[in-house]
Formats: sequence, structure tokens, C-alpha cells
Amino acid sequence: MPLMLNTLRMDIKRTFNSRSLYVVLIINFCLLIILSLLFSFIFSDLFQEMTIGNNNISVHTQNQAGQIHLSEEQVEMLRKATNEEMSVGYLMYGMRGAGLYSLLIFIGLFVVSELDTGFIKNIPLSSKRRTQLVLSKLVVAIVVSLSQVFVYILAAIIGNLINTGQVNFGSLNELASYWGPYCLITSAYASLIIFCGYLSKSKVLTIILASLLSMGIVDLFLRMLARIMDLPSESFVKYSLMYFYQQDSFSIESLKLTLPIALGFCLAFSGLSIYRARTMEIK
Amino acid sequence: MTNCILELKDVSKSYHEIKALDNINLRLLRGEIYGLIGRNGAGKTTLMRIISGLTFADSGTVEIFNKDASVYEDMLERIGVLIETPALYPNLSARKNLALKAAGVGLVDYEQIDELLLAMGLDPKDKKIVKKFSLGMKQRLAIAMALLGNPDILLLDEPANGLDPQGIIAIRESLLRLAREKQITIMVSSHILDELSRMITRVGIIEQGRLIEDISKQELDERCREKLVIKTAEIERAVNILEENLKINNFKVVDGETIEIYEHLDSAREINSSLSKSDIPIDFIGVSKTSLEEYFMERIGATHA
Repeated sequence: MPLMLNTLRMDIKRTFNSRSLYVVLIINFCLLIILSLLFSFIFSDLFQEMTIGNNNISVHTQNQAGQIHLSEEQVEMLRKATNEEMSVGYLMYGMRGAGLYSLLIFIGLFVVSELDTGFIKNIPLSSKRRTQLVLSKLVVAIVVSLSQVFVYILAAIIGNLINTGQVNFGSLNELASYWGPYCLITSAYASLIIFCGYLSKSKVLTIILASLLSMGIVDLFLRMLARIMDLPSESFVKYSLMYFYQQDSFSIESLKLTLPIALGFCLAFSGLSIYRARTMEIK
Repeated sequence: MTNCILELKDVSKSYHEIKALDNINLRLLRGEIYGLIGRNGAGKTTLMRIISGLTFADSGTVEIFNKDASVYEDMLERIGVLIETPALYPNLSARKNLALKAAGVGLVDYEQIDELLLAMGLDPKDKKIVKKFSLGMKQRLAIAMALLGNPDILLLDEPANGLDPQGIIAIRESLLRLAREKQITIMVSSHILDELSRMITRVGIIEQGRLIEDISKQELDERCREKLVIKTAEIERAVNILEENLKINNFKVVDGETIEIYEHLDSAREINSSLSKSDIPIDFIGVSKTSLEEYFMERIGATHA
């Protein structure tokens, strides 16, 4: 056990010594503040128009003007984005995409730089240690993910204050039940990127893959596959990590699917990463 | 209690069709400084990488303190390495780089970090990042990194690379002190053979993956000792004169025109005179000593002959 703690200490120390972490957190912080201001400027007007127009809003294009009727979901979304209803929780949801993207880039580069610089050669590399290096990266992913959540809370509070003059946390139950599965889903993505980092040992490939994953490229392929097979578009997508990731909340029913799949991903790619780490030659 | 710290038994390694190491057998004793010399691509680095666990042998075993390192993997924790280029995070300072390794090996007391940095001529308070270091500074830091954690075995692959003469002397003295005072076993490879010969207690020559020589310093000195060299086209007649007239028996005919005499080194004039009187033409006569470089070149040349 002490060996694992030593490995963890080393990686956590490196995480918090890394400028990139603070750059990521500051960017995320600023993005969320900007997001809250955008919500305030754009959506409040739309919400007013929608309320007056009985859930209709006007749309102006180059050639014509008209009205569109918003669905209940869209109305709900708009309502939550307005000054009256804006909550810390809702603002945080808006950062999911950016948060995932920045986390995956950070973790991918974190893994590859250890190999790239060769620093890993300074650590005695028994099989046990190689396994611990992979597990330690997963812990780092969780730590960075939690740091992001902390920064989001802070930024969302400030955003909320700027826009509404008060802090509205929204439903705390909802928040807690969302961010728990969120961490697991994020860990599943992180385990995939960690595997890619150890497999490719390339910063460029890892960044490209992280970008494609967080843009939902897998979902695109799954939808195309469903179409080719003449199945409903969501046939395969509803089992993908990105589908779970984009949920605003998790019901007990949806968790029954989300948790095992996310956990399965996590275990599968962690296992592959460990296998790769134990068998690869360090140049 | 055995003094054998490191033993390699029939270690082989191939990369595709190329045999990088071919049945290497090697024993290192406590406190030895083992010089490993060979041409580029001979297998020195591969050997060190296998010992340190960075790569895996195809066959054979590596035993550390008489324990098979593939089974008792904790033994690898007792090795400090500097293999090829310095392995450092470029955006961290020297102290932070060492602090990371210290955390990794369970060192809590950071005093050793400052002591090592000072010993290597680096300032512990310097916040300059490694990216801005000269090659020599990086090399010193990498050596400090290898020494961190009080290893029992040090594997140093060309540690003098990039160092100025002062730095090279400082490294040599540090290694000699470590071996003498702390009984650390050191395997060091270098192309600066003259420098290497000043600190080693044993030498191994590796060529095309095979250990073609593994001798003590005493044996090396013996083989490289001073000799009187005579070059003549009439070897047989010269040999007769040496044996019968001059009663010289401790000599060797090296090739078709060279004789090496290992006694009567101060009798060059008399030998020359005797040979000349017998009308034996002498192309060269003089005293010489083989350097480690020359010895190495001879052995490599002999391997390919």
C-alpha cells in the first residue's frame, strides 16, 4: 500500500505543480461567468417574448420572418436561463461540454508527458508500480474533475449574483444526484483517454481523440449505424456515454442503465491501460 | 553473506531480427565500479534498460541481491538510473523535479534534495525551470535524480555527457566516494575511456550484443602494461637473437612484423645494437603503453578478424 500512496503523492503533486491545471480552471471559471452573462442578455428577452406570445417566439432570417412554437422542454430550458429562475445548478450544467473537453485534454497530456519527457524512467518500474501509475492517473482525473466542479460552483455563484443579485442554488437534491453520476461518466471518459495516452504515447493523437470524444463523434457514428441498419436513430446512442452525459438529471430508471455502462467502460479501459502499461517498453 | 549485488544469467534480447543482447552473463559485487564500454549500438543501453526494468529480456534472469527481479520486483526500488538523455519535466525547477521523485519513492525529508543539488553544483533556491538549463546542468540534475533515495545500485549511461572538465572530475570523485564510503555498486558506460579508466574496478567490453571481455582493473593494467615494441620485417631471425643471444623470453609476436617485449624495458639500445649487428633491419623500436582506448580498439578489431 505505501507504494501506491507514494505513486499517488507524486502524481497529485505534479498535478498541482502544473500550470496547465490552473489555466484550465481559470478558463472554465471565465467561461461560466461569460455564459451566465449571455444567458442574462439573450434569454431573458426571449423569455419575455415567449411569455407574451403564448410560447411562440419570432424568428427573423434573411428571406422571411415568422414565428416558432417552443416545446415544453424548450420553455423549461428558457425559463431556467432567465434572471428570475437562473440557478447555480443550471449554470453548471451549461459547462458540461467545456468541462469534459478540458478535463480530457489535461489528463491525456498528463499521461503522455510522463512518457514523452521520460520522467517515468526515474521511477523503479516493477509491474506493481506500472499498475499503480495507471490507477493514480484515474485518481488524478477525479481530483481534477472535482476541482472543476468546485470552480463551477464558485463561478456560478458569482454569475448568479451578477445577474440576479442573489444566489439561487436550485434543487440541491437534483444537483447532488447529477454530479455523482457525472463524476463516474467523466471517469469512464478519462479511462479511455488514459488508455489512448499509453497506447499512442503521442500528444497530438491524444488531443485529437479527446476533442472528437467530447464533440460526440461516437454518437454520430452510432446514429449513422442505426440508420444504415434501418433502426431508430437512438437505438445505439442511448447506451453511449455522451448520451448519459448530456442528461440534465438522472432518474432511478436511467441510473440503472447509466451506472453499469459507465462503470463497465471505466473498468474495461482501466484494465486495458494497466495491461498496456505493464507490457510496454519505456524508451 | 555473498557480496554479489547484481547477476545477469544468460540474458538475451532481440528487436525483430536484430540480436541486441546475446547470452549475457555478468556479476557485480558490492562497491564495484563497473565500466561498460562498447560502440554505439553495441548493447550497453539495452543492458541497463533490462536491469532497471524499462524493457524486458527475451530470456535469462536478472538477480538483485540474489533474488530474481522478475519475481521480487521490490528489488528494482534499490536501483537509481540515468539512461540516455536526462529525464526531467522541462517546466519545473530542479528542486521540483527532485521533489516529484522524492514523493514517488516515499522520501519525506527533503533535506536530501537540497544536499544533492549542492553536491551537484546546483542551487536549491534557483527557480529557473529545466527548459532553460544548459546540457551540463541537466546532466548534473539527472545524476542527482539517480542518487535520490539512496540506491544500492547505480546505472549511469554516459553520465559525463555535456559536462565540462571540472564537472567530469567532480562526477568521478563523487562516484569514487559513493563506492568507497557507501558501498554503492555502480555500472557506468562512457565513451571517454581515459576518464573511465581512472575510476573503474572492473571493465566489460560489449560488442554486437555479446560481452567479449569482463576483467578486473588489475588484469586490464596487466594487459595494457608498458612494453618494448620492435617492428621488423625479419621476425623469425629477430626472435632467435632475442632468445639465444639476449636470453629474453618474456615477449610476444603480435603480428607478422611486431614483437612486444615485457622485460628489459630499459635495454632498448642493447637490443637494437644486437639486432643491427646481425643485419636485421629495424623499422621501429621504442617503449609504449596501451591505453584503454587502444586496448578496446584491439579487442573490437580482434572480434571482427
